[in-house]
Amino acid sequence: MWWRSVALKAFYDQWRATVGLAAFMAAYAGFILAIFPSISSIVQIKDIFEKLPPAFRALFAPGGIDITTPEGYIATEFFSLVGPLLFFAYTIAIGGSATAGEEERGTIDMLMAMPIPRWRVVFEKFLALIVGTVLLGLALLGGLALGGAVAGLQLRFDGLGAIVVGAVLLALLFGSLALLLGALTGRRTFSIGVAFAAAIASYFLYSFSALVSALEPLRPLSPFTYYIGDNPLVSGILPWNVAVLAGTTVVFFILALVAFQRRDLRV
Amino acid sequence: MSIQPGSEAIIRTAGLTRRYDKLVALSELDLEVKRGEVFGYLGPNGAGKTTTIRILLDLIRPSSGAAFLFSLDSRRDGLAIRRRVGYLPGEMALYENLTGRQFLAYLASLRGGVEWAFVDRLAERFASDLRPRIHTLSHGNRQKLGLIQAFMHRPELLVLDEPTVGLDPLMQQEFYGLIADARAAGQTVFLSSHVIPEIERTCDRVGILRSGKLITVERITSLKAKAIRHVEIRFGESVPPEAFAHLAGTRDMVVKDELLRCSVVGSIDPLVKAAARFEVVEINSQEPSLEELFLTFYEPAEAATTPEEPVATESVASTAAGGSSEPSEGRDVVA
Repeated sequence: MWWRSVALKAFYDQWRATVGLAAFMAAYAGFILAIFPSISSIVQIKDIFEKLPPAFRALFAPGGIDITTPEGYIATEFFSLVGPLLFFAYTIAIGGSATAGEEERGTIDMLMAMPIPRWRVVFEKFLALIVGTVLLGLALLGGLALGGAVAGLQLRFDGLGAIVVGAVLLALLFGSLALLLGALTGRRTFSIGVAFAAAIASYFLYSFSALVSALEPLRPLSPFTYYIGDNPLVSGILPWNVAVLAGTTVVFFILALVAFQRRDLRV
Repeated sequence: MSIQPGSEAIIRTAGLTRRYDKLVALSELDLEVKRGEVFGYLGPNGAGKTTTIRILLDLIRPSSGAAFLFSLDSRRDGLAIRRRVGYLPGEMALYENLTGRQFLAYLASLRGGVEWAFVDRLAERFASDLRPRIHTLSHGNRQKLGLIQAFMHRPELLVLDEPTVGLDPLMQQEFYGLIADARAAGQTVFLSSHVIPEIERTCDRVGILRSGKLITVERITSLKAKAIRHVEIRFGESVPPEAFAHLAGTRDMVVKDELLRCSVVGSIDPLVKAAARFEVVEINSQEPSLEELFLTFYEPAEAATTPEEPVATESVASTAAGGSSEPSEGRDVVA
């Protein structure tokens, strides 16, 4: 059944990475959430937090998140940086390997000698990536629910759901960037490296633009702005943010289709 | 080349050219392969064979010119073409994490399904075990998988890039049988190689490619007639050099005591007849390298400058010592 199509085989190939990372993310985020009651009873997080210089505050609790609630705490501890990084590791590695991996290994010649159009290979591989990333998001929500239940917390899942949706979209954006670079160059490591660098740069651009007024006008350039900039815990899923993240992804994806269709494949 | 009226061209290229920056990998290639033909594409490594093949399959695009398969444009109608073509890549890479069967099942479903009983027959023929994962297989066993996937949908056209590389002699025989069957079934075969005997064994016609240029297209029979062989005859006694002078088709003749060395173009018969007058202890005959074939037929003026030809160098040395041969004599006979 896994050999029926490019998408199914792609999903088979990423199966272990998906399960492994989903389990890790769920366990990690669930654990952090589960220890929230003990942490908040030992120290007054808010007091400590308010003594921090504004630069640190902006880094750790972006967008005016209230870290005294369990949702705000997990958003700060997990979703501001570690969570996205884990998502990126998945989408960028898989996106960058989608066609470029087959070109570097040399399997692309045999694959593209089959009677399927090139765009369909890009399309099906990206489809498998979307499904995998959504599964990561669901596993993450499951881990949070479990951690919350263990700690006896009453979690509000509308806000958490919104932030997970944002994380999935943000990860797919950088995954599609890696896919595009791979389709353009046929070079896997290069594509993964550049996409990852872009992801890190956009994180710092977002964080520092909150502190340095000179950087403020550049803020809309960072995809992180549309992920966490409007405090999704409170405002939920904002159509505009979704449109920007998903729209950029679609643009990268379409460019990847076109690029791969036109290029000479590497030997 | 001569095109018989009414014969359908399965592959046709017109002025096919491919440049990489300044390097010309393929230059103004005009080629025609007819239905049911087994066509050999012969040339040294780097001559442009793989470039041609990858253009035919639309894996890379020509800088200028066009290629037509089944009268369809390779760029516009790639899908329709690839449905009817079986392809064995030159430097084949497989999905290492799959088993042979999974790998074939994957390609079969991308082709919209194949008759699995036929796949099993092919696997049996090559004694190919489809159960182990590909990363555990030897080079020869991978090559077999590559051949099976090329043949499994019984394509009208087989494009095989260096198909026997890595096959042991037994499997090479099996491969020759497969080509014979393909010919009998009316399939067209386009086969690239840098080894002359392989082409001689399997093909009807051969196109010879060098440095991106098609030098000639001829029938295998006429290639064989031209084929040059290095012959060494050891006699039971000293033989007079005069007995072998002016023999048709011989060149670089060196006779010293009981040993004769020369190159023979075309039929070896006159030399054998001449030698039969003496007691013959041993006859050795050696196929020439591809590079030598070029030097002999297509750039004769440079023949003397070839450095990697020990036989030639040696005979020149003996010529000086023996002073009895006429190296330039035989060349006139070639035509």
